[in-house]
Amino acid sequence: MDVIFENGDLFLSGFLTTIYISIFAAILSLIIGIVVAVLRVTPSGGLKVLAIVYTEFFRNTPFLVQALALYFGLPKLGLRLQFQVFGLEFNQSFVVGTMALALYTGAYVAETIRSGLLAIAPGQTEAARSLGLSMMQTLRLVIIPQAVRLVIPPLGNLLIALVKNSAVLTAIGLAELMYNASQVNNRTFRTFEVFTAVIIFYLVLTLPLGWLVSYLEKKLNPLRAIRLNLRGAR
Amino acid sequence: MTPVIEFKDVHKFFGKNHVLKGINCTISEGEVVVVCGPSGSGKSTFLRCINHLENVDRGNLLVNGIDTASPRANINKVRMETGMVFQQFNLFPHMTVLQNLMLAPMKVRKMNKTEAGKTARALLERVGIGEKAEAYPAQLSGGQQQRVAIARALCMSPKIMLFDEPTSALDPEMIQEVLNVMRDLARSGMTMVTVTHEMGFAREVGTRVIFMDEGNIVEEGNPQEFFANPREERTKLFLSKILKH
Ligand SMILES: Nc1ncnc2c1ncn2[C@@H]1O[C@H](COP(=O)(O)OP(=O)(O)O)[C@@H](O)[C@H]1O
Ligand SMILES: [Mg+2]
Repeated sequence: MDVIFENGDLFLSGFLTTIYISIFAAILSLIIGIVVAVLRVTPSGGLKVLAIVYTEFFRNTPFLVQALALYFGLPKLGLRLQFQVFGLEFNQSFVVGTMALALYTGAYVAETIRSGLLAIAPGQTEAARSLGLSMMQTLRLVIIPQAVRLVIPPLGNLLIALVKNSAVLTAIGLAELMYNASQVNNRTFRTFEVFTAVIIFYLVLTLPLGWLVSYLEKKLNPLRAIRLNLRGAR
Repeated sequence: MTPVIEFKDVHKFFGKNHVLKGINCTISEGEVVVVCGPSGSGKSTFLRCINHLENVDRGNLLVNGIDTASPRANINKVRMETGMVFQQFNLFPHMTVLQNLMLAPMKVRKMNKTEAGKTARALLERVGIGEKAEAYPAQLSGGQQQRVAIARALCMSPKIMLFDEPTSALDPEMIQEVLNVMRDLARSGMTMVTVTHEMGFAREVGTRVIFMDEGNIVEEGNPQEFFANPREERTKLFLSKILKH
């Protein structure tokens, strides 16, 4: 165990980087996913084709390849990929890593949201419209609340996958948990202790996320919760 | 009698499929019209044109004096005055029964919460399920759900009620509880257009029966005459099929 504590600062900074990049990429992928999903359910247009190409491309190529391609490709386009905001330094690995993770996850978020919207029966829209609600009111009060309930659990699972996938970014030199652990391992050869610690760090992140998802699932879906309570009472 | 619904040579196409082929029909205030006919004959489309869930391709369709075929028509105004009840109930599953009833009065008629709640509870009593106000739709039987759907439509105080096969998705033992509510409504003077094959209902409270086939109104008349002496061969054939059961 001493190898972990001796390198505690490395583990901790890697752990924090994993958390930061997960948060940034999650927010970005949600925005991408919502926009792309809406484009895909609208009737037609060039943007719809673009949305389809995007989701198919990012879901059907390996994430590792996407991350490497972005890491080596983007600088060639002359883009500035380092930022300093509020005294925080974001290096190229972090910026490209966030983009890669968000683009990859965003494709899955888009598909999840799209299927959520499509899963709401057309009868719901017809009932709302027949009562005199406008299209916007129908979306806001009837369709989206139901779609959100359907979509929260699969989106939670995507978030967990995102946290785990961040480890791949070790390949583009991002100093996250996996990268820093590898550094320690290369120096000390205490493979077993080092990677046991890594696994525990990941579980500390992913298990509570899983619990949060099932809590939200129950809270957002009163009927399911009622059924579960009834079953518990009997 | 003031006409409240007027079809004037109404045509409707789904792609190449000519679904309504020049419908002419006038329905007056207080009438209880029953529409029947084989599956695919255009009954639902006929009904759904009235509140503009389907748009008319040719002809005019006046509802409370508003021509719904005109692009400038205020469709939401038509829909506020026209309640609709669907075969599959279409209650909002994420809301309680009471919330289902209060939604449109509050959001469309801008009624305040207290008043909307009072109206909603009174209507639930009227359809016989006052005690289910706090339940979610999935906790109710089909018959109860359909009665909630009727109450939800009535909450907007519509002038016209449209029913599209309201008992077709119900188990046989629940059909009567829904028909009873509809009978009461008919006797209270509501203008109703109902697609149904419940011929008992048509005989008891119907003022007119319309028989549709292949996008045309083939025959119409008052229920007594319609059932006793159908004139058209197609009507006779259809009646012999459904009255056997
Ligand atoms: N939304 C739609 N899109 C395409 N065709 C439709 C649609 N709704 C109905 N139809 C077609 O229109 C015809 C009449 O349908 P409908 O009015 O539902 O008949 P009914 O209610 O008498 O069974 C049928 O051939 C049906 O397939
Ligand atoms: Mg039909």
